[in-house]
Amino acid sequence: MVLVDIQNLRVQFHIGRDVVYALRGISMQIERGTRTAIVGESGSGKTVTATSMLRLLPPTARITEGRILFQGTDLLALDENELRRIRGSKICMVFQNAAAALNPLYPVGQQIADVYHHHNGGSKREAWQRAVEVLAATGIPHPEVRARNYPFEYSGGMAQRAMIAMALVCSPQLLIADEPTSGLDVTIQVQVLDLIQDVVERLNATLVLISHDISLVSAICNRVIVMYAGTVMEAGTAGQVLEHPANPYTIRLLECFAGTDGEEMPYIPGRVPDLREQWQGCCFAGRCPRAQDICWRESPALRQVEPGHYSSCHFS
Amino acid sequence: MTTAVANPKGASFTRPSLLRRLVDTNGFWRVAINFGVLLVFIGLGILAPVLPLQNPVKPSPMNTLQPPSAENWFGTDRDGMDIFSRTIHAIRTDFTLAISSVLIGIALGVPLGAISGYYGGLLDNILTRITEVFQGFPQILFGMAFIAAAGNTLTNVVLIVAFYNIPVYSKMVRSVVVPLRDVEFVQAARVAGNSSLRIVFRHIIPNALVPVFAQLPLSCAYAVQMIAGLSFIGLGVEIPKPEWGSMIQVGANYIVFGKWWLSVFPGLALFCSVWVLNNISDILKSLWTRRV
Amino acid sequence: MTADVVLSIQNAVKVFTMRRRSLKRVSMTAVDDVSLIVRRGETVGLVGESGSGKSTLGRAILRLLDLDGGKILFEGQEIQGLSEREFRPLRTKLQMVFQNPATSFNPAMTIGQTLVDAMCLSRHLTLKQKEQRALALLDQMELDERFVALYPYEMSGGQLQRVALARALAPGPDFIFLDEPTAALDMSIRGQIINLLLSLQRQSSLSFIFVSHDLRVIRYIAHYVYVMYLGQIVEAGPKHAVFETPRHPYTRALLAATLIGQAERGEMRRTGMLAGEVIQRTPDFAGCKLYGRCRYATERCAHEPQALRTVAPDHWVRCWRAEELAQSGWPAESGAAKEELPTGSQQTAV
Repeated sequence: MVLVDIQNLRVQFHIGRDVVYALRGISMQIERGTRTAIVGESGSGKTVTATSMLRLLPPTARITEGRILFQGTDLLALDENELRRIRGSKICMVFQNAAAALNPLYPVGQQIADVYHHHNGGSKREAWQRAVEVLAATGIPHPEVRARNYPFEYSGGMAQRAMIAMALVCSPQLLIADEPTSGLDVTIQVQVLDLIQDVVERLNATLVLISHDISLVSAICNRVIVMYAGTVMEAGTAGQVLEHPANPYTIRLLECFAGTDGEEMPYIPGRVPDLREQWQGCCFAGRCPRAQDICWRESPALRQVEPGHYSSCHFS
Repeated sequence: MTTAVANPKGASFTRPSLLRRLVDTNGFWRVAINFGVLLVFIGLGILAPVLPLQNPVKPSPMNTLQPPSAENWFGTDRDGMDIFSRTIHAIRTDFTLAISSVLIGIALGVPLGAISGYYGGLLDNILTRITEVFQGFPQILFGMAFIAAAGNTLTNVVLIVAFYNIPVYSKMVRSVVVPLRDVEFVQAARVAGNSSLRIVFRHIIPNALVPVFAQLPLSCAYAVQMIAGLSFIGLGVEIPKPEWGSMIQVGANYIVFGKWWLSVFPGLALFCSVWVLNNISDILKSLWTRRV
Repeated sequence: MTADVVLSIQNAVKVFTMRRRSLKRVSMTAVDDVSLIVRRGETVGLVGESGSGKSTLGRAILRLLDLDGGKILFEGQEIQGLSEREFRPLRTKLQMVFQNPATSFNPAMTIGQTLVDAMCLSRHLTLKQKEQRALALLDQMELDERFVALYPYEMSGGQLQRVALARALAPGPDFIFLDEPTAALDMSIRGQIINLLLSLQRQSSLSFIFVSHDLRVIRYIAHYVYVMYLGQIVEAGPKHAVFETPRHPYTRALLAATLIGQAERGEMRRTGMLAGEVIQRTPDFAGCKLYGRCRYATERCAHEPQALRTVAPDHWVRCWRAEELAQSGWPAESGAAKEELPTGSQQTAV
């Protein structure tokens, strides 16, 4: 059953006199119960996709086309009140820089309790207890003490756990985690990822994990969507995309992450195209080793390569 | 604005000219109008003695407190002197005094603050305490004392206002410089072998100028006020000499009698100058602040 | 091939004291008795996470801060005691590349001006010659000449890091300290910098210390690897030894964390994980700094200071259980009553 259906979404940012075309007509479907990774590098549009789902875009953004259907309802057509009912209770988001996403003026436990109270009512004491419970569930030691601490007293990894706890307390159907491990030590990253997997299983929720690290997400996700320059390049199960990728960008990207046995480290020469421009043809044409004339003239559509596996390339 | 074709003669180290860059970032009209008005003011100020204006300091007892007319475009003041002519002649006084004193204040205050902030330690402590002493002085009293000691000249008036500005800019720059000490490009400059003094002047000060630009027009406006205050008590600019601040102050007494033109016209002139200076400071600031 | 030693650090110590709210002085040992050597034409990979002391070590080498103990010898000469004036002429030989391209360039200067400024000690060159050299360096870094007139904000991170490399090369150094130079870059462009470094090293016998927590990058660039944790070296050896037969639990944890996704590391991932967060130690703590996070810890680990010792020729480890654990194949459970660690729930601060 399809939980989220994004159809031909186009998002622009108006910064000063420039227009940045961040999303250029992307479409994707998230099935219920799956753990989907949206993978991409800088400028790919992965974070914009996630924030669009919750309509949390900054005022400089304009959604010029497309629909985001959540359980059949178009999120883009809802008003603020209806959205607020969905945010936090049905869809929850864990942000990148946890310490910055928490309000520095209030104790962490209180922030979690407030969220619980807002969606479930009940007494303040109940809400507090629940807050302590979820903090414990995310592996934070001495949760009763920690609940009374302020965000600045938390380390990076702990702040991430607190954010996950906040998501946990709402029992959402969809959990979106936007680069939840960036800025954390690598040995802590694995812990946080395991925790997310744990939480999602417990809640029986659907996970959308945004990351730039394709090898990291393969550990816990069963579907992978690869984005580049505001376009979806490839989508499929983790096995399909990681083991026999169909899109040249994915192939090159995986090479960079996995490494080769040679002396030189693989890389993709060139740079991401300027998102303020609009172009004909494939966004990867300038850097693709297999680019031909048609790649510059015509933009490839997302086509099925094998059941459940899609690629946007003229030659896959 | 990058060109599609690489520079055929080989790369140059120069950029498009300053003017070109200002226009590109701010739009032609903004730059043209503001700089244009400023140039008009300066031009009028310089040319004032040779322009066909009425004598700004010649009293005309039969003609006092006349409203604007064909003869006196801005009317006459309590001594019968033509306000239009006085307003224009005052440009010379106000612009020179205000701007030069603020510029001296900046020229001394900025390096002081930067050195103080970068070196830290005992030097910083001493310099900060000294500037605090300066700031603690009530300016008018300081002005009176200074003039009593050093004589009632315009140069001294400039110095008084400059003294006031030194601690303002020194403190401002110091607060910007302290966090800059640890920023990576400053460390890179040290690794390259720059001496500390060179780092302060070449790397730190250019990056500390943004708040200075923002403050500059405000300082100029305040300088005009200070000069007016001093001339009101007879120090600095002697009474018949035209100067906006004193014109406004004297004219303020007559507004209640319905004679608005004494203050309004010099007031408008002051307002225009400060506004234009403000815009110009924003325009210049755009050279430093990056585009998003 | 034992090339001569370019840089030698002997028993370096650096302690930071901070005054906390409670007015009590809290001291943190950033660098705790570190010794390492760098040979000519080789790269030493310095691996560790936050708090490991690797950046502090770099700043000490470049004399951006001073050590509290130990010696640093550059080409045989002690440099940590020199005054700034005495040390300055040596700055042409010792250079650094910083981590964050966004803040390591003066936003008020063009790239060309920055490069010329980097040659401020090369007084024998005229301005024209410096400009020529700047253009040549940009060319070497595969950057178009026209970049010389651009400001940093007009360039991408990958391009800026190549300029950072050009800036470090401008004075003609023998040694460059690279502090996580690729950490801020997309994975798909890191290779360009790494390969440039490799070819530079081949051409000019440059020596590098390359700091990174990402072992994927270290694998290509380093000849010899030092692994640091909380200011101490916990493992050191030639690259292949450390990657193929890691002997310290922390090294295994790093390998497991950064090499996820590779089939043969799957097993290591389950047994390699550390519990909890970094635990800062007070100076009176005498045991292993990894105690409390290490699944193989015993009571002995809490009390006995661990020394760096050899487990194989030129392969050093700071763990008394190294051989024993390696022989038993790094079991999932070990002698000390530490059960399968759930996600970080057993953090006990000392």
